[in-house]
Amino acid sequence: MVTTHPTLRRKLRRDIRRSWPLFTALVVTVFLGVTLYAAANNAYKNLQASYDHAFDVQGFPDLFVSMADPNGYARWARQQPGVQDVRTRVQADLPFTVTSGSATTKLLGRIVGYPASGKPSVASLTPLSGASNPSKGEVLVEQHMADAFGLSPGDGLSISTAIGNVPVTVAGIASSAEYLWPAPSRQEEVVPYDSFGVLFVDEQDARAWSGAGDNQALVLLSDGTRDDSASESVLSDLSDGAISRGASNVMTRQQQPSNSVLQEDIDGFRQMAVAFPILFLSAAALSMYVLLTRRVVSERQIIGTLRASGVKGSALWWHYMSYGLWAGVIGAVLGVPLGMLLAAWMSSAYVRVIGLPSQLEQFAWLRPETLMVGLVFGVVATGVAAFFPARRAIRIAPAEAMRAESPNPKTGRSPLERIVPWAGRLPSRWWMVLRSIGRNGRRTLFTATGIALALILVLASVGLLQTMRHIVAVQFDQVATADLQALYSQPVTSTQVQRVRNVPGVDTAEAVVDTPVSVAYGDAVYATQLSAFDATTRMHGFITQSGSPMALPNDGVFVDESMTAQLPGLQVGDTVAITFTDTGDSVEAVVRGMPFEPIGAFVYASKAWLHKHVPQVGPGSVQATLRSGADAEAVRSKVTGFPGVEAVVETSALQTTFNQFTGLFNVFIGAMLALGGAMAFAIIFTTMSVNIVERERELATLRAAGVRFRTLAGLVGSENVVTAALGVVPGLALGVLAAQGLLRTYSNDQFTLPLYVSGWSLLLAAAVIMLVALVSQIPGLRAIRRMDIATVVRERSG
Amino acid sequence: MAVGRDSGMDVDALPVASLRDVTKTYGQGDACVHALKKVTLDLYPGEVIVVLGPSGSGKTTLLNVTGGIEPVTSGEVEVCGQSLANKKPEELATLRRKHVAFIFQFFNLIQTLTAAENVSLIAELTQKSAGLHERVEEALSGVGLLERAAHFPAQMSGGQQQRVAIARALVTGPDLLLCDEPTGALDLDTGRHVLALLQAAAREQGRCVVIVTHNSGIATMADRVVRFHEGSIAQVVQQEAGEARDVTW
Repeated sequence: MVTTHPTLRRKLRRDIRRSWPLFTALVVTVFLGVTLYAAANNAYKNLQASYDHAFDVQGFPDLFVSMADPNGYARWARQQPGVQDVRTRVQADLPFTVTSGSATTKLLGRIVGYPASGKPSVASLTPLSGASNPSKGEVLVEQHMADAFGLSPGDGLSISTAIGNVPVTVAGIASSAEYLWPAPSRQEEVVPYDSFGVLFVDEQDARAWSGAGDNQALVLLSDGTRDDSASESVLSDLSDGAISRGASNVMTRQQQPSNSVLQEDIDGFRQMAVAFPILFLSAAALSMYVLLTRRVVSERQIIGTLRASGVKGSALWWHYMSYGLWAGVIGAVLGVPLGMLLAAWMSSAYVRVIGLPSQLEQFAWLRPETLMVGLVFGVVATGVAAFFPARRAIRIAPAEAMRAESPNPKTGRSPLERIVPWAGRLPSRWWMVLRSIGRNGRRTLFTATGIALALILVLASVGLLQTMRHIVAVQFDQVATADLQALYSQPVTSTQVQRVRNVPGVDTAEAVVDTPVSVAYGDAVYATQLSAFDATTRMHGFITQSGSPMALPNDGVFVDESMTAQLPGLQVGDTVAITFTDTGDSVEAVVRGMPFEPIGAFVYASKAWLHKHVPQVGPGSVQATLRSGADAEAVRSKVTGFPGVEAVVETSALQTTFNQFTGLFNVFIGAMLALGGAMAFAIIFTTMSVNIVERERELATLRAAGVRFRTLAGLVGSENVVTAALGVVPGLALGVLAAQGLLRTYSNDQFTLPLYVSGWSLLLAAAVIMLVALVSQIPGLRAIRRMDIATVVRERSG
Repeated sequence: MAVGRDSGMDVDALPVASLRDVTKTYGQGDACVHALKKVTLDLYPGEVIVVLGPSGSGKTTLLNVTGGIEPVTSGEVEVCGQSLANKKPEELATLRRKHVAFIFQFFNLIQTLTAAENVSLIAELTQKSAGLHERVEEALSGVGLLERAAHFPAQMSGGQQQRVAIARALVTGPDLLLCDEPTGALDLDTGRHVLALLQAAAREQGRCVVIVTHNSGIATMADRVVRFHEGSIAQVVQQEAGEARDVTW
């Protein structure tokens, strides 16, 4: 990268110094791209390494099998090739009562059997405080529940068990990789921390309190098998073996709720590590190409003279390549360490949010591969861009040294003038602006492309933000319309419903059925939940994606639109087989509609339909809406105290949890918007500056003729604005596509994220970019104002 | 002062421009360059003045300070009765709009505009556009390029481009035409043609035409020849102006 000719090196230094604002703009663009890469890549690797370590240390199972008697399956599975170990345990969802200060909270919780001593090789815990194992009558509290209720060793709570209400003592606080994101199931991935808690209890206690024996087998593959391409077939064999032995549910590590949610986030970082740096480095490459091409054209007489004097082509080639490579190196050298620092901050912030214990963190401040790839990214982007102008330089013939004038830019009438006959009567200044756009088509194209890239970044971010806000609004304003849900230990009676209805502040109340089911269509089966309401329910809204209401059918079911991905080919009017997990009953049902729900993928039916086909499945909860201005806390407290109520969940708490979930996300979006603006500024500043430099003599001539600076600024500004506008139109379209693509990566069966971006947002994004275009011209226009007219008018073109 | 035959110079008229003890220096200390040293000169309507001198003698600087595109270090410059001292850049631009036009060695046409558009652009941007079309045609006709009105600079020879530049300068009706090496990039025949147009602008339209050149052959067409040497006027010669078509170099 170092030219061998000392004078050329000196020239390079002076060229960089003289054009330092442009060079800085290039460096900044490279810097942003490399920083983003290093930050996202290192964060992704830090988080992945931490998860992998947590899974290693705790022996996170590869397969979770739920069945009535798992011990026979466990014995068989241990014999299978690739299996390292199998453990059986009890897992049961039971109501907890936690008293914190003067507040008593009932919540649906989960007890998980754990050995009274020692650390199991499969699904162990990381103790955070207090005991490492629960003794009889004691529990280890999962850390999120401990944080939500302020529990510490020595505190008490009670569990409503098969043998009655059992008071227990907190022996310790622990972290479990299964509950880093504490979700009860895939269907309930977002729940308030004070609505769902996990306790690890002595194995004998677990059996006694659940009223059953072990009901889960946890299979751990050997490391070699897991990393092998054959792992899928091993898991498939193990799953088949479980199903043939009567398993009610088989879940892989990837499907485990906590892992599923968090892994998507990690995948998001991984994609960011590629997509966004590409945007920035492409922009840097475009700017470099424009700038260096202009430099070579303006110096063609110098180049011709040097060539005529015998200077080697390679020396010239390296001279111009060096300009680009230095911008890449400086940007990359600055960007990589900052990116790594950002990665450390992002990783720390993220693990703090999810509560990964620090002893499980596997952060690396310096990753050699990130360093190398970051440097290569920066240098290659600018190097490739510099290659073509540098090659052009060595192709300039020595005869150019004799030429007074540069090759004239492309001139001629624009297509518009040919099409519109009266166009010739327009003022000359309009043609000066419009034809100037075509004087260097490639530069105009690159400028417009740079604008489009910036708009892609901005719109992808805005699209994500607006979509998230929209789906939260749809979910909580139009779909989940109940304000409160009370869960009961026994089927709900009409008296209990009336009791809730009579609570001051309650507008209406209704008994609701929520029961686990599996839905089969063709060869596909999907485990989910069926909810049954009154036909005219006000507890749940059924809408199409455009917001039109749908009426709950009495002669069939609704299947959430997102389920079609899990049940390929399923359409309205088709028949599905619904198996009720708790009773084993199987019913065929016609799909009468597919409502749109951003969160969750459930089956819906009327209570009348359910009672007709599966009368033994009754309502287990009461949902209620509150009057405007009602004291929600008072209602919750009142309902919590009713006999039979196990837990009360407020919809508003759920919404708050969801908003917290997207909190970090919003910070990321804000950063992307700012970076998008910075990128647009850097690109436009570079190309506009080159435009102005190229036309310095014309502009100086107009100034010498007495044209006002304001008029000149208007002409130059108009040209730049039109060029920017050329990039806005494709940028808007591509930005929308990019946002759709980004949302698809976050969508799954539980989160349906159709792009929602308002027309106003598109206009605003375009307006912001145009404003950036205007602002980025200011340095160039200042240069025109300060221009030494006398000197410039005497210069030869260049 | 003697008045040359067929000269447009009006001896009773006030000067179009006056320079009094004008000094222009660049740089400081050891690097100080004295481009003009106490230059005093009046420029009258209707005359052709050729400013001669070797490279670096101050000829172009004289043009620049007279036209207000460079400030003086000391001394007074007046154009059409207005002093250029203490004027802001926009005020100087206004003055140039009304009274001064430049012609440059390398034409300085806007490459993306046709000949007619190059001529009309300045008028559009600096004056009212009433009757613009007719004035543009007249200006191009005056330089013999009406048939090339729709051609771009790239489609024209150097001489034709310089003639377009002259039309552009004249369309605004300046009192003072400042020409910096107008034939520097042209051959003899083309150069004569250009010089003839400049001479006609002085004789027939009463403009003051100042031509800066290092080419002493051009001096024969001048009403006055000002010789510069090391920033000072070495000699001013009033003479009977020859015809531009007879100039030779």
